[in-house]
Amino acid sequence: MKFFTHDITVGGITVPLHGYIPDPLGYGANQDNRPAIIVFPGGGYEGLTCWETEPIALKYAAEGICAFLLMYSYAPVRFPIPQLQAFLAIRYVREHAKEYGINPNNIATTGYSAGGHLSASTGVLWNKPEFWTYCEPYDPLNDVGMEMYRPNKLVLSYAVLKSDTEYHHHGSFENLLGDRITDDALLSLVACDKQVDDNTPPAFLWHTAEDDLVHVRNSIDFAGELAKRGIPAELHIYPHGGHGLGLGTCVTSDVRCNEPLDIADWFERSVRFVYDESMIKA
Amino acid sequence: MKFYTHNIVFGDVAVPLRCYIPDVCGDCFNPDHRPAVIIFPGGAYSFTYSGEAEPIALKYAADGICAFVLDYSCAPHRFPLPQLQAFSAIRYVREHAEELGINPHNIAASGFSAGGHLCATTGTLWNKDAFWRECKEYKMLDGVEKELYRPDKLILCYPVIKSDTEHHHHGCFENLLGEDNVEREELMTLLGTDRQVDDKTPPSFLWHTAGDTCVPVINSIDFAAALAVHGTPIEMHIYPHGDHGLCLGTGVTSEFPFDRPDDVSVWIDLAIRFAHDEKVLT
Repeated sequence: MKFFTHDITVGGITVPLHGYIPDPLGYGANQDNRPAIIVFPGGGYEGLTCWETEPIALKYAAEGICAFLLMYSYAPVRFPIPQLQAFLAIRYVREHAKEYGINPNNIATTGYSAGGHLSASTGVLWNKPEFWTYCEPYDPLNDVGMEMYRPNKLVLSYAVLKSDTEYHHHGSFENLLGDRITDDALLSLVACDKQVDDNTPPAFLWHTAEDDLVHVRNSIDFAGELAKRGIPAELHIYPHGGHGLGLGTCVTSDVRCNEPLDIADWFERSVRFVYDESMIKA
Repeated sequence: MKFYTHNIVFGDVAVPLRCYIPDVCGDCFNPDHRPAVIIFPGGAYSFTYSGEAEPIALKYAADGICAFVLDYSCAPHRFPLPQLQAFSAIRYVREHAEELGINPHNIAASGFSAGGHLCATTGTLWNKDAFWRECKEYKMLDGVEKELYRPDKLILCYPVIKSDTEHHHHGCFENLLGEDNVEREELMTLLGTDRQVDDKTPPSFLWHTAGDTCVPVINSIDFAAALAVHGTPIEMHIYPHGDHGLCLGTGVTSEFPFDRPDDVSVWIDLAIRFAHDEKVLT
């Protein structure tokens, strides 16, 4: 495999993007046109949750998917830096797709909790001029069009998606926006469900109904916005379990190694979703 | 993760042992006491097959198991060199267990086809004086006990086990011994791994397809039977359909469309469970 780190630098800050690229076998399916997925761990935009980092990337790599892990910036670093880092990661993967044997039209982003907000942000803000206005000092559209930054798919795990007072995770938005949390226009721009449009990519979402940290309405409403527009969506809501369950196995939590949680079957379905080429719009 | 190569050297022959050591997340179960699996790909002792190498290792690593792939010597290199390299790999993992966060008493050897024969020889020859006499010049037992070389478990995948003329894979033994030595009956007996099973042979997991036309399923059945005589823990799965060399039985290692894995594809999940299981250790 190729296991390496590519530095992403913007606004004077550098963060690592780790690459986990399994060797092509020289035969069989998926040699030079493989899906890619970029992982954003959770942590409320004030840290990066350890079990949502490498274990996720390795699990996708073990399925022949080229995986990348972005250790993005968090508080006191503010919007739009994490979003820009995420977009630059997508651009890096797309620009190096041929070198890594990746299909440049099948690059997914995936995130957990606040990392899910970041992933959904890439899906809904890539074509919003209001967003790019915030990024002007960093000039990301100097030499490419917005399409360079569009993820082809989203995989959202117990994601923070709404900024409405009733269902949102206030801490995440405080950490992301800082003082600008009182700026209603900005709060609306970072409400992922409100920013869904016809060009939002297909999304896979999963959530537990009992999640008392990030309300399940976050996933339900986002899926609803996709459904209204006929955009492919896959949604799994499990009845039991709290927030932050990761893979539901001993690799991401304190469960015994042969006793995965009920929710653990979500991962295999997400692999099928990532491989599914029928839902890609070139 | 730590991903690196440790070279195993005998005389002027060096072969790589590729090491896949996932990072430990403090919150997970069993962080510094993890299982290890050392993988020997197949190829009739004339080459090592890529589909039975890294893709297998990544599946284990993605489940928190430290995985190693030995690219052992093949024809025209002869017995006992591959066996010595395999024992050397086991010794390396055991001696570095603490540093790598591995349980030194839960190190499995695993192999496919001819690599399965190599695996079975580590399980049966580690305590046989007749074997070590063939290797005297390499001084492997200087200052150490034979137990240093014993794998704690075997994971055998459509393995070459038997050397009896009727059911064996003659090509493998020609490649391993050379055309002259393949006539030496006492050597062929020593390498008939089912005939070398005793009460110290490790617990074993085996899988095979009944439709295997290259290495008949009786190989696995007879090895399991020999273990059963001693009451040694065994797990065996014989699938009705499929020929030889299925690897993971999914699109990762073959032409199968990704969403229609072969019936056998569940085997790796069962093997992972077996690798984690500390109750079978003797």
